[in-house]
Amino acid sequence: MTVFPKVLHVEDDADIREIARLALEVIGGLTVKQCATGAEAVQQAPEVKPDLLLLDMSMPDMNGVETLNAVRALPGMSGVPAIFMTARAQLQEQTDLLQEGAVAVISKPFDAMTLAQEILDIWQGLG
Amino acid sequence: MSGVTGVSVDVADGAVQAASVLPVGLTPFHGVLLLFVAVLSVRAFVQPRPFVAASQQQPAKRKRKVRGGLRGAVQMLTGHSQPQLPAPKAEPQSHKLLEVAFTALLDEVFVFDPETSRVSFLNARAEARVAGLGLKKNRVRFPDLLPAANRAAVTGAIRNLRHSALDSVVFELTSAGAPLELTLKLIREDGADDCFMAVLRDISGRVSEARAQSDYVATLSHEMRTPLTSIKGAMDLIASGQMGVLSGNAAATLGVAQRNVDRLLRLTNDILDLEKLDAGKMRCDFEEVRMGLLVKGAIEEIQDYARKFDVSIRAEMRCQDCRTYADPMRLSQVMANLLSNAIKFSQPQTEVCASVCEMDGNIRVSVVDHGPGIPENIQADLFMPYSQGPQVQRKVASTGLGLSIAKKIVEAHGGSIGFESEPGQGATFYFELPKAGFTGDVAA
Repeated sequence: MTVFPKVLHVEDDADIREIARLALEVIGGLTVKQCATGAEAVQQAPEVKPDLLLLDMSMPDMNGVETLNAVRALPGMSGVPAIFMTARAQLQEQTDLLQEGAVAVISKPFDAMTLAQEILDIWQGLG
Repeated sequence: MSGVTGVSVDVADGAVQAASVLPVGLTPFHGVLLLFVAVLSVRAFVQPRPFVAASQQQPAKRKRKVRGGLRGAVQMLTGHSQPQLPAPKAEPQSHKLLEVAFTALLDEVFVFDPETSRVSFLNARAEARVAGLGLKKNRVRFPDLLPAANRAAVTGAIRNLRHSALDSVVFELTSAGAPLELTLKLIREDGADDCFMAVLRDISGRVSEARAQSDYVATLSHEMRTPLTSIKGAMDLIASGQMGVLSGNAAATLGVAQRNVDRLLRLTNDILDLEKLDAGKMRCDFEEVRMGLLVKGAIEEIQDYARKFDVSIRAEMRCQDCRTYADPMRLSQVMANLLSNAIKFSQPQTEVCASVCEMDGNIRVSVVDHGPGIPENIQADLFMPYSQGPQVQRKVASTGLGLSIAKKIVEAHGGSIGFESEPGQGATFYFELPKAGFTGDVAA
Protein backbone atom coordinates (compact mmCIF):
# COMPACT_ATOMS: atom_id res chain seq x y z
CA MET A 1 0.00 0.00 0.00
CA THR A 2 1.34 3.39 -0.97
CA VAL A 3 2.20 5.67 1.93
CA PHE A 4 1.44 9.25 0.96
CA PRO A 5 3.78 11.95 2.21
CA LYS A 6 2.53 14.94 4.15
CA VAL A 7 3.48 17.93 2.02
CA LEU A 8 4.30 21.46 3.17
CA HIS A 9 3.77 23.68 0.14
CA VAL A 10 5.19 27.22 0.13
CA GLU A 11 4.03 29.54 -2.66
CA ASP A 12 3.50 33.30 -2.59
CA ASP A 13 0.98 33.44 -5.46
CA ALA A 14 -2.49 32.76 -4.04
CA ASP A 15 -3.92 31.50 -7.33
CA ILE A 16 -1.15 29.01 -7.86
CA ARG A 17 -1.52 27.90 -4.25
CA GLU A 18 -5.17 27.14 -4.88
CA ILE A 19 -4.48 25.25 -8.11
CA ALA A 20 -1.75 23.24 -6.40
CA ARG A 21 -4.04 22.45 -3.45
CA LEU A 22 -6.73 21.15 -5.77
CA ALA A 23 -4.16 19.20 -7.78
CA LEU A 24 -2.58 17.59 -4.73
CA GLU A 25 -5.60 17.09 -2.48
CA VAL A 26 -8.52 16.56 -4.87
CA ILE A 27 -6.74 14.87 -7.77
CA GLY A 28 -3.91 13.20 -5.87
CA GLY A 29 -5.37 12.57 -2.44
CA LEU A 30 -2.31 13.95 -0.65
CA THR A 31 -2.32 15.78 2.68
CA VAL A 32 -1.12 19.33 2.13
CA LYS A 33 -0.39 22.28 4.37
CA GLN A 34 0.18 25.55 2.55
CA CYS A 35 2.10 28.70 3.46
CA ALA A 36 2.42 32.00 1.62
CA THR A 37 5.96 32.86 2.79
CA GLY A 38 9.15 31.19 3.87
CA ALA A 39 8.84 32.73 7.33
CA GLU A 40 5.37 31.22 7.73
CA ALA A 41 6.75 27.86 6.67
CA VAL A 42 9.50 28.03 9.30
CA GLN A 43 6.84 28.82 11.88
CA GLN A 44 4.48 26.02 10.79
CA ALA A 45 6.99 23.27 10.08
CA PRO A 46 7.52 22.02 13.68
CA GLU A 47 3.79 21.55 14.10
CA VAL A 48 3.09 20.15 10.62
CA LYS A 49 6.11 17.81 10.64
CA PRO A 50 6.14 17.51 6.85
CA ASP A 51 7.54 14.48 5.04
CA LEU A 52 8.28 16.63 2.01
CA LEU A 53 8.71 20.33 1.22
CA LEU A 54 7.34 21.72 -2.02
CA LEU A 55 8.91 25.15 -2.43
CA ASP A 56 8.36 27.89 -4.95
CA MET A 57 11.74 29.29 -5.89
CA SER A 58 10.96 32.96 -6.50
CA MET A 59 9.34 34.49 -3.44
CA PRO A 60 9.83 37.86 -1.76
CA ASP A 61 11.73 38.02 1.52
CA MET A 62 12.85 34.39 1.58
CA ASN A 63 13.27 32.48 -1.66
CA GLY A 64 12.98 28.71 -1.96
CA VAL A 65 16.60 27.97 -1.12
CA GLU A 66 16.57 30.26 1.92
CA THR A 67 13.32 28.70 3.09
CA LEU A 68 14.78 25.21 2.70
CA ASN A 69 17.87 26.13 4.68
CA ALA A 70 15.80 27.77 7.42
CA VAL A 71 13.45 24.77 7.75
CA ARG A 72 16.34 22.33 7.77
CA ALA A 73 17.95 24.33 10.56
CA LEU A 74 14.99 23.48 12.79
CA PRO A 75 15.35 20.60 15.27
CA GLY A 76 14.56 17.25 13.64
CA MET A 77 14.19 18.78 10.18
CA SER A 78 17.72 18.52 8.85
CA GLY A 79 16.95 15.66 6.49
CA VAL A 80 13.55 16.72 5.15
CA PRO A 81 13.54 16.28 1.35
CA ALA A 82 12.52 19.23 -0.82
CA ILE A 83 11.23 19.78 -4.33
CA PHE A 84 11.62 23.20 -5.90
CA MET A 85 9.09 24.64 -8.33
CA THR A 86 10.41 27.25 -10.71
CA ALA A 87 9.31 29.17 -13.75
CA ARG A 88 12.95 29.67 -14.67
CA ALA A 89 13.20 26.69 -16.90
CA GLN A 90 16.83 26.99 -17.98
CA LEU A 91 18.60 23.69 -17.47
CA GLN A 92 21.55 25.29 -15.72
CA GLU A 93 19.28 27.00 -13.20
CA GLN A 94 17.58 23.68 -12.51
CA THR A 95 20.96 22.00 -12.07
CA ASP A 96 22.01 24.76 -9.68
CA LEU A 97 18.86 24.19 -7.63
CA LEU A 98 19.59 20.48 -7.32
CA GLN A 99 23.01 21.41 -5.99
CA GLU A 100 21.28 23.51 -3.35
CA GLY A 101 19.93 20.31 -1.84
CA ALA A 102 16.63 19.67 -3.61
CA VAL A 103 15.73 16.14 -4.67
CA ALA A 104 13.92 17.38 -7.79
CA VAL A 105 12.88 20.50 -9.65
CA ILE A 106 9.42 20.85 -11.21
CA SER A 107 8.98 23.44 -13.96
CA LYS A 108 6.12 25.90 -14.04
CA PRO A 109 3.63 25.82 -15.45
CA PHE A 110 3.12 22.41 -13.93
CA ASP A 111 0.53 19.95 -15.14
CA ALA A 112 -2.23 20.07 -12.51
CA MET A 113 -3.51 16.65 -13.54
CA THR A 114 -0.18 14.89 -13.03
CA LEU A 115 1.47 17.01 -10.31
CA ALA A 116 0.49 14.74 -7.45
CA GLN A 117 1.66 11.61 -9.26
CA GLU A 118 4.92 13.31 -10.17
CA ILE A 119 5.53 14.16 -6.53
CA LEU A 120 4.60 10.64 -5.44
CA ASP A 121 7.03 9.17 -7.96
CA ILE A 122 9.81 11.39 -6.64
CA TRP A 123 8.90 10.52 -3.06
CA GLN A 124 8.89 6.79 -3.73
CA GLY A 125 12.19 7.11 -5.61
CA LEU A 126 13.78 8.35 -2.40
CA GLY A 127 13.30 4.91 -0.94
CA MET B 1 58.42 29.72 -34.19
CA SER B 2 60.65 30.67 -37.02
CA GLY B 3 60.53 31.66 -40.61
CA VAL B 4 57.17 33.35 -40.89
CA THR B 5 57.63 34.60 -44.39
CA GLY B 6 54.15 35.74 -45.15
CA VAL B 7 50.61 35.58 -43.97
CA SER B 8 47.74 33.85 -45.58
CA VAL B 9 44.43 34.93 -44.15
CA ASP B 10 41.60 32.76 -45.22
CA VAL B 11 38.54 34.73 -46.11
CA ALA B 12 35.13 33.92 -47.42
CA ASP B 13 35.89 35.07 -50.94
CA GLY B 14 39.48 34.01 -51.34
CA ALA B 15 42.83 34.54 -49.70
CA VAL B 16 45.40 37.25 -49.32
CA GLN B 17 49.13 37.08 -49.24
CA ALA B 18 50.22 40.13 -47.35
CA ALA B 19 53.90 39.50 -47.78
CA SER B 20 53.81 40.22 -51.47
CA VAL B 21 52.49 43.75 -51.02
CA LEU B 22 54.15 44.91 -47.83
CA PRO B 23 56.01 48.20 -48.02
CA VAL B 24 59.76 48.32 -47.89
CA GLY B 25 61.08 48.04 -44.36
CA LEU B 26 58.26 45.90 -43.05
CA THR B 27 58.80 42.18 -42.72
CA PRO B 28 56.00 39.76 -43.42
CA PHE B 29 55.76 39.23 -39.68
CA HIS B 30 54.82 42.87 -39.31
CA GLY B 31 52.24 42.28 -42.00
CA VAL B 32 50.62 39.65 -39.81
CA LEU B 33 50.51 42.06 -36.90
CA LEU B 34 49.24 44.92 -39.04
CA LEU B 35 46.28 42.87 -40.20
CA PHE B 36 45.49 41.86 -36.67
CA VAL B 37 45.62 45.41 -35.37
CA ALA B 38 43.19 46.48 -38.04
CA VAL B 39 40.90 43.54 -37.34
CA LEU B 40 40.90 44.21 -33.62
CA SER B 41 40.17 47.86 -34.13
CA VAL B 42 37.13 47.06 -36.22
CA ARG B 43 35.96 44.32 -33.89
CA ALA B 44 35.60 46.89 -31.14
CA PHE B 45 32.65 48.32 -33.07
CA VAL B 46 30.74 45.19 -33.84
CA GLN B 47 28.73 42.76 -31.74
CA PRO B 48 31.07 40.06 -30.49
CA ARG B 49 30.07 36.47 -31.03
CA PRO B 50 28.65 35.01 -27.87
CA PHE B 51 29.58 31.40 -28.07
CA VAL B 52 32.47 29.24 -28.99
CA ALA B 53 32.44 29.58 -32.73
CA ALA B 54 34.60 28.29 -35.48
CA SER B 55 35.21 29.43 -39.01
CA GLN B 56 35.75 26.92 -41.75
CA GLN B 57 38.95 27.29 -43.64
CA GLN B 58 38.35 27.96 -47.30
CA PRO B 59 40.77 26.79 -49.94
CA ALA B 60 42.87 29.58 -51.43
CA LYS B 61 41.37 30.45 -54.78
CA ARG B 62 42.92 33.71 -55.83
CA LYS B 63 45.27 36.31 -54.52
CA ARG B 64 44.11 39.77 -53.65
CA LYS B 65 45.81 42.83 -52.34
CA VAL B 66 45.91 43.74 -48.68
CA ARG B 67 42.99 46.13 -48.82
CA GLY B 68 40.51 43.45 -49.89
CA GLY B 69 42.14 40.92 -47.64
CA LEU B 70 41.85 43.22 -44.67
CA ARG B 71 38.15 43.57 -45.31
CA GLY B 72 37.91 39.83 -45.73
CA ALA B 73 39.81 39.21 -42.54
CA VAL B 74 37.54 41.63 -40.73
CA GLN B 75 34.53 39.80 -42.07
CA MET B 76 35.98 36.47 -41.12
CA LEU B 77 36.83 37.37 -37.57
CA THR B 78 33.78 39.44 -36.85
CA GLY B 79 31.23 37.44 -38.74
CA HIS B 80 30.01 40.67 -40.30
CA SER B 81 30.51 42.17 -43.69
CA GLN B 82 31.76 45.72 -43.41
CA PRO B 83 30.62 47.66 -46.46
CA GLN B 84 30.94 50.87 -44.49
CA LEU B 85 34.56 50.20 -43.62
CA PRO B 86 36.62 53.01 -45.12
CA ALA B 87 39.35 51.78 -47.40
CA PRO B 88 42.83 52.54 -46.16
CA LYS B 89 44.15 55.60 -47.95
CA ALA B 90 47.76 54.55 -48.04
CA GLU B 91 49.44 51.20 -47.67
CA PRO B 92 52.79 52.32 -46.19
CA GLN B 93 53.02 52.09 -42.41
CA SER B 94 56.04 52.62 -40.23
CA HIS B 95 57.47 50.53 -37.48
CA LYS B 96 56.70 53.46 -35.20
CA LEU B 97 53.03 53.33 -36.11
CA LEU B 98 52.92 49.63 -35.42
CA GLU B 99 54.64 50.07 -32.09
CA VAL B 100 52.23 52.83 -31.08
CA ALA B 101 49.24 50.79 -32.17
CA PHE B 102 50.30 47.70 -30.27
CA THR B 103 51.24 49.67 -27.18
CA ALA B 104 47.89 51.49 -27.20
CA LEU B 105 45.91 48.32 -27.78
CA LEU B 106 43.77 47.36 -24.78
CA ASP B 107 43.76 43.72 -25.85
CA GLU B 108 46.61 41.35 -25.19
CA VAL B 109 48.18 39.94 -28.37
CA PHE B 110 50.40 36.88 -28.47
CA VAL B 111 52.03 34.93 -31.29
CA PHE B 112 53.16 31.44 -30.43
CA ASP B 113 54.48 28.25 -31.92
CA PRO B 114 51.96 25.45 -32.51
CA GLU B 115 54.37 22.68 -31.45
CA THR B 116 55.84 24.12 -28.29
CA SER B 117 53.26 26.86 -27.53
CA ARG B 118 56.27 29.08 -26.77
CA VAL B 119 55.42 32.76 -27.21
CA SER B 120 57.54 34.59 -29.79
CA PHE B 121 55.77 37.95 -29.79
CA LEU B 122 53.63 39.83 -27.30
CA ASN B 123 52.43 43.42 -27.01
CA ALA B 124 52.66 45.69 -23.98
CA ARG B 125 49.37 44.55 -22.45
CA ALA B 126 50.41 40.96 -22.89
CA GLU B 127 53.76 41.68 -21.28
CA ALA B 128 51.93 43.01 -18.25
CA ARG B 129 50.10 39.67 -17.87
CA VAL B 130 53.36 37.75 -18.14
CA ALA B 131 55.06 40.00 -15.60
CA GLY B 132 52.06 39.82 -13.29
CA LEU B 133 52.35 36.05 -13.25
CA GLY B 134 56.05 36.29 -12.47
CA LEU B 135 57.04 34.58 -15.72
CA LYS B 136 59.87 35.35 -18.15
CA LYS B 137 58.51 36.63 -21.42
CA ASN B 138 61.16 34.90 -23.52
CA ARG B 139 60.38 31.49 -22.07
CA VAL B 140 56.67 31.53 -21.49
CA ARG B 141 54.26 29.02 -23.03
CA PHE B 142 50.90 30.48 -24.03
CA PRO B 143 48.59 28.08 -22.09
CA ASP B 144 50.51 28.88 -18.89
CA LEU B 145 49.18 32.44 -19.12
CA LEU B 146 45.58 31.30 -18.80
CA PRO B 147 43.52 30.43 -15.72
CA ALA B 148 44.33 26.84 -14.74
CA ALA B 149 40.74 25.72 -15.27
CA ASN B 150 40.87 26.71 -18.94
CA ARG B 151 44.26 25.31 -19.91
CA ALA B 152 43.11 21.82 -20.89
CA ALA B 153 40.34 23.17 -23.12
CA VAL B 154 42.64 25.67 -24.84
CA THR B 155 45.39 23.09 -25.30
CA GLY B 156 42.79 20.79 -26.82
CA ALA B 157 41.59 23.55 -29.13
CA ILE B 158 45.16 24.24 -30.26
CA ARG B 159 45.61 20.55 -31.05
CA ASN B 160 42.24 20.36 -32.79
CA LEU B 161 42.84 23.40 -34.95
CA ARG B 162 46.13 21.97 -36.16
CA HIS B 163 44.52 18.71 -37.23
CA SER B 164 41.17 19.83 -38.54
CA ALA B 165 39.74 21.96 -41.29
CA LEU B 166 38.95 24.72 -38.81
CA ASP B 167 41.30 27.66 -38.44
CA SER B 168 39.96 29.81 -35.65
CA VAL B 169 38.02 29.52 -32.44
CA VAL B 170 36.65 31.95 -29.86
CA PHE B 171 36.43 31.08 -26.18
CA GLU B 172 34.97 32.82 -23.21
CA LEU B 173 37.14 32.18 -20.19
CA THR B 174 35.05 32.95 -17.15
CA SER B 175 36.43 30.50 -14.65
CA ALA B 176 38.65 32.84 -12.61
CA GLY B 177 39.29 36.54 -12.24
CA ALA B 178 38.07 39.00 -14.86
CA PRO B 179 36.21 37.23 -17.66
CA LEU B 180 38.24 37.04 -20.86
CA GLU B 181 37.50 36.36 -24.48
CA LEU B 182 40.21 34.39 -26.22
CA THR B 183 40.45 34.36 -30.00
CA LEU B 184 42.79 31.71 -31.33
CA LYS B 185 43.74 31.89 -34.98
CA LEU B 186 45.96 29.42 -36.80
CA ILE B 187 47.95 31.06 -39.59
CA ARG B 188 48.76 28.54 -42.28
CA GLU B 189 51.12 29.31 -45.12
CA ASP B 190 52.52 26.98 -47.76
CA GLY B 191 56.26 26.64 -47.39
CA ALA B 192 56.37 28.26 -43.96
CA ASP B 193 55.82 27.13 -40.44
CA ASP B 194 52.33 27.55 -39.03
CA CYS B 195 51.89 29.92 -36.13
CA PHE B 196 49.09 30.82 -33.76
CA MET B 197 47.84 34.25 -32.88
CA ALA B 198 45.94 34.70 -29.67
CA VAL B 199 44.09 37.76 -28.52
CA LEU B 200 42.85 38.09 -24.96
CA ARG B 201 40.19 40.68 -24.31
CA ASP B 202 38.71 41.73 -20.99
CA ILE B 203 34.94 41.24 -21.35
CA SER B 204 33.88 42.24 -17.84
CA GLY B 205 31.56 44.90 -19.25
CA ARG B 206 29.94 42.54 -21.70
CA VAL B 207 29.48 39.82 -19.08
CA SER B 208 27.93 42.33 -16.72
CA GLU B 209 25.50 43.46 -19.43
CA ALA B 210 24.73 39.84 -20.24
CA ARG B 211 23.88 39.17 -16.61
CA ALA B 212 21.55 42.15 -16.51
CA GLN B 213 19.87 41.03 -19.73
CA SER B 214 19.64 37.47 -18.50
CA ASP B 215 18.04 38.65 -15.26
CA TYR B 216 15.54 40.69 -17.26
CA VAL B 217 14.61 37.74 -19.47
CA ALA B 218 14.33 35.43 -16.48
CA THR B 219 12.10 37.92 -14.67
CA LEU B 220 9.92 38.39 -17.73
CA SER B 221 9.70 34.64 -18.12
CA HIS B 222 8.66 34.28 -14.50
CA GLU B 223 6.09 37.06 -14.68
CA MET B 224 4.44 35.55 -17.74
CA ARG B 225 4.58 31.96 -16.59
CA THR B 226 3.04 32.62 -13.19
CA PRO B 227 -0.42 33.67 -14.46
CA LEU B 228 -0.24 31.06 -17.20
CA THR B 229 0.35 28.41 -14.54
CA SER B 230 -2.84 29.40 -12.76
CA ILE B 231 -4.94 29.66 -15.93
CA LYS B 232 -3.74 26.38 -17.38
CA GLY B 233 -4.04 24.58 -14.05
CA ALA B 234 -7.58 25.85 -13.47
CA MET B 235 -8.70 24.83 -16.95
CA ASP B 236 -7.15 21.38 -16.70
CA LEU B 237 -8.80 20.76 -13.34
CA ILE B 238 -12.21 21.85 -14.59
CA ALA B 239 -11.81 19.77 -17.74
CA SER B 240 -10.94 16.69 -15.68
CA GLY B 241 -14.48 16.55 -14.37
CA GLN B 242 -13.21 16.35 -10.78
CA MET B 243 -14.66 19.78 -10.02
CA GLY B 244 -18.12 18.86 -11.34
CA VAL B 245 -19.57 17.48 -14.55
CA LEU B 246 -19.51 19.78 -17.57
CA SER B 247 -22.12 19.95 -20.28
CA GLY B 248 -21.00 19.12 -23.81
CA ASN B 249 -20.97 22.76 -24.86
CA ALA B 250 -19.08 23.85 -21.74
CA ALA B 251 -16.47 21.15 -22.31
CA ALA B 252 -16.06 22.19 -25.94
CA THR B 253 -15.72 25.84 -24.97
CA LEU B 254 -13.19 24.97 -22.31
CA GLY B 255 -11.27 22.94 -24.88
CA VAL B 256 -10.90 26.06 -27.01
CA ALA B 257 -9.50 27.95 -24.04
CA GLN B 258 -7.13 25.09 -23.16
CA ARG B 259 -5.72 24.84 -26.67
CA ASN B 260 -5.12 28.55 -26.76
CA VAL B 261 -3.49 28.79 -23.37
CA ASP B 262 -1.15 26.00 -24.49
CA ARG B 263 -0.43 28.02 -27.59
CA LEU B 264 0.22 31.14 -25.54
CA LEU B 265 2.62 29.19 -23.39
CA ARG B 266 4.54 27.84 -26.38
CA LEU B 267 4.61 31.32 -27.84
CA THR B 268 5.96 32.77 -24.59
CA ASN B 269 8.72 30.18 -24.53
CA ASP B 270 9.57 30.69 -28.20
CA ILE B 271 9.64 34.49 -27.97
CA LEU B 272 11.89 34.34 -24.96
CA ASP B 273 14.19 31.85 -26.69
CA LEU B 274 14.34 33.98 -29.82
CA GLU B 275 15.01 37.12 -27.82
CA LYS B 276 17.86 35.45 -26.01
CA LEU B 277 19.32 34.10 -29.24
CA ASP B 278 19.02 37.47 -30.98
CA ALA B 279 20.72 39.18 -28.07
CA GLY B 280 23.41 36.52 -28.06
CA LYS B 281 22.48 35.78 -24.48
CA MET B 282 21.29 32.21 -24.71
CA ARG B 283 23.60 30.19 -22.57
CA CYS B 284 25.05 27.13 -24.28
CA ASP B 285 26.90 24.49 -22.30
CA PHE B 286 29.18 22.80 -24.79
CA GLU B 287 30.26 19.23 -24.41
CA GLU B 288 31.13 16.32 -26.66
CA VAL B 289 27.89 14.93 -28.02
CA ARG B 290 27.33 11.60 -29.77
CA MET B 291 24.87 12.66 -32.41
CA GLY B 292 23.37 9.20 -32.93
CA LEU B 293 22.37 8.97 -29.28
CA LEU B 294 20.98 12.49 -29.29
CA VAL B 295 18.79 11.80 -32.33
CA LYS B 296 17.56 8.49 -30.88
CA GLY B 297 16.69 10.27 -27.65
CA ALA B 298 14.78 12.96 -29.54
CA ILE B 299 12.82 10.27 -31.41
CA GLU B 300 11.87 8.52 -28.17
CA GLU B 301 10.74 11.81 -26.65
CA ILE B 302 8.37 12.54 -29.52
CA GLN B 303 6.85 9.08 -30.01
CA ASP B 304 3.63 9.93 -28.16
CA TYR B 305 3.16 13.01 -30.32
CA ALA B 306 3.77 10.96 -33.48
CA ARG B 307 1.14 8.41 -32.43
CA LYS B 308 -1.47 11.16 -32.22
CA PHE B 309 -0.86 11.84 -35.90
CA ASP B 310 -0.60 8.12 -36.76
CA VAL B 311 2.91 8.69 -38.06
CA SER B 312 5.85 6.33 -37.44
CA ILE B 313 9.47 7.44 -37.06
CA ARG B 314 12.43 5.47 -38.39
CA ALA B 315 16.04 6.10 -37.36
CA GLU B 316 18.85 5.59 -39.86
CA MET B 317 22.26 5.85 -38.23
CA ARG B 318 24.99 5.78 -40.84
CA CYS B 319 27.51 7.34 -38.48
CA GLN B 320 26.75 5.76 -35.15
CA ASP B 321 29.75 7.23 -33.37
CA CYS B 322 29.85 10.71 -34.93
CA ARG B 323 30.62 13.31 -32.29
CA THR B 324 30.44 17.07 -32.20
CA TYR B 325 30.86 19.80 -29.62
CA ALA B 326 27.47 21.17 -28.77
CA ASP B 327 24.95 21.95 -26.09
CA PRO B 328 22.88 18.74 -26.08
CA MET B 329 19.78 20.47 -24.69
CA ARG B 330 19.80 23.04 -27.49
CA LEU B 331 20.41 20.43 -30.18
CA SER B 332 17.56 18.37 -28.73
CA GLN B 333 15.40 21.49 -29.09
CA VAL B 334 16.35 21.67 -32.79
CA MET B 335 15.60 17.98 -33.27
CA ALA B 336 12.23 18.31 -31.50
CA ASN B 337 11.34 21.17 -33.81
CA LEU B 338 12.31 19.38 -37.02
CA LEU B 339 10.65 16.13 -35.95
CA SER B 340 7.43 17.79 -34.79
CA ASN B 341 7.20 19.77 -38.02
CA ALA B 342 7.71 16.61 -40.05
CA ILE B 343 5.05 14.79 -38.05
CA LYS B 344 2.53 17.65 -38.19
CA PHE B 345 2.79 17.93 -41.95
CA SER B 346 2.80 14.17 -42.66
CA GLN B 347 -0.14 12.20 -43.96
CA PRO B 348 -1.46 9.57 -41.50
CA GLN B 349 0.15 6.13 -41.79
CA THR B 350 3.29 7.50 -43.36
CA GLU B 351 6.83 7.43 -42.05
CA VAL B 352 9.26 10.13 -40.97
CA CYS B 353 12.93 9.18 -41.25
CA ALA B 354 15.64 10.77 -39.10
CA SER B 355 19.20 10.00 -40.19
CA VAL B 356 22.74 10.82 -39.13
CA CYS B 357 25.64 10.64 -41.57
CA GLU B 358 29.07 12.11 -42.18
CA MET B 359 29.49 14.54 -45.04
CA ASP B 360 32.70 16.39 -45.94
CA GLY B 361 34.00 16.34 -42.39
CA ASN B 362 30.66 17.47 -40.98
CA ILE B 363 27.87 15.57 -39.32
CA ARG B 364 24.61 15.87 -41.19
CA VAL B 365 21.32 15.17 -39.45
CA SER B 366 18.32 14.89 -41.78
CA VAL B 367 14.60 14.59 -41.15
CA VAL B 368 12.56 13.39 -44.13
CA ASP B 369 8.78 13.53 -44.28
CA HIS B 370 6.16 12.58 -46.85
CA GLY B 371 3.97 15.62 -46.39
CA PRO B 372 2.86 18.18 -48.95
CA GLY B 373 6.31 19.72 -49.29
CA ILE B 374 7.20 23.40 -48.97
CA PRO B 375 5.26 25.74 -51.29
CA GLU B 376 7.67 27.59 -53.55
CA ASN B 377 6.35 31.00 -52.53
CA ILE B 378 7.52 30.60 -48.92
CA GLN B 379 10.74 28.67 -49.50
CA ALA B 380 13.02 31.73 -49.65
CA ASP B 381 11.95 33.02 -46.24
CA LEU B 382 11.20 29.75 -44.51
CA PHE B 383 13.61 30.37 -41.65
CA MET B 384 12.22 33.85 -40.99
CA PRO B 385 9.70 34.24 -38.14
CA TYR B 386 6.07 33.69 -39.17
CA SER B 387 7.05 32.85 -42.75
CA GLN B 388 4.34 30.20 -43.16
CA GLY B 389 1.54 32.67 -42.64
CA PRO B 390 -1.12 32.71 -39.91
CA GLN B 391 -3.44 30.24 -41.64
CA VAL B 392 -0.81 27.50 -41.72
CA GLN B 393 0.33 28.34 -38.20
CA ARG B 394 -3.17 27.94 -36.81
CA LYS B 395 -3.81 24.80 -38.83
CA VAL B 396 -0.77 22.99 -37.48
CA ALA B 397 -0.69 24.68 -34.05
CA SER B 398 2.63 26.35 -34.75
CA THR B 399 4.03 29.49 -33.15
CA GLY B 400 5.75 30.34 -36.42
CA LEU B 401 9.08 30.76 -34.62
CA GLY B 402 10.40 27.21 -34.34
CA LEU B 403 12.50 27.14 -37.52
CA SER B 404 13.93 30.61 -36.77
CA ILE B 405 15.01 29.37 -33.35
CA ALA B 406 16.42 26.15 -34.82
CA LYS B 407 18.45 28.12 -37.37
CA LYS B 408 19.91 30.44 -34.75
CA ILE B 409 20.79 27.57 -32.44
CA VAL B 410 22.53 25.66 -35.24
CA GLU B 411 24.41 28.76 -36.34
CA ALA B 412 25.45 29.47 -32.75
CA HIS B 413 27.12 26.05 -32.91
CA GLY B 414 29.07 27.00 -36.05
CA GLY B 415 26.78 24.88 -38.23
CA SER B 416 24.26 25.37 -41.01
CA ILE B 417 20.64 24.38 -41.58
CA GLY B 418 18.62 23.95 -44.74
CA PHE B 419 15.98 21.98 -46.57
CA GLU B 420 15.18 20.35 -49.89
CA SER B 421 11.62 20.04 -51.08
CA GLU B 422 9.62 19.42 -54.17
CA PRO B 423 6.04 20.58 -53.63
CA GLY B 424 3.86 17.51 -53.28
CA GLN B 425 6.87 15.26 -52.67
CA GLY B 426 7.57 15.89 -48.99
CA ALA B 427 10.53 17.70 -47.52
CA THR B 428 13.96 16.99 -46.11
CA PHE B 429 15.24 19.31 -43.40
CA TYR B 430 18.84 18.93 -42.37
CA PHE B 431 21.52 20.57 -40.29
CA GLU B 432 25.26 20.13 -40.36
CA LEU B 433 27.75 20.61 -37.55
CA PRO B 434 31.54 20.30 -37.53
CA LYS B 435 32.57 16.79 -36.58
CA ALA B 436 34.75 16.70 -33.48
CA GLY B 437 38.30 16.26 -34.77
CA PHE B 438 39.35 13.85 -32.09
CA THR B 439 37.96 11.28 -29.72
CA GLY B 440 40.30 12.05 -26.83
CA ASP B 441 39.70 13.30 -23.38
CA VAL B 442 40.10 17.04 -23.77
CA ALA B 443 37.37 19.07 -22.12
CA ALA B 444 35.59 21.66 -24.19
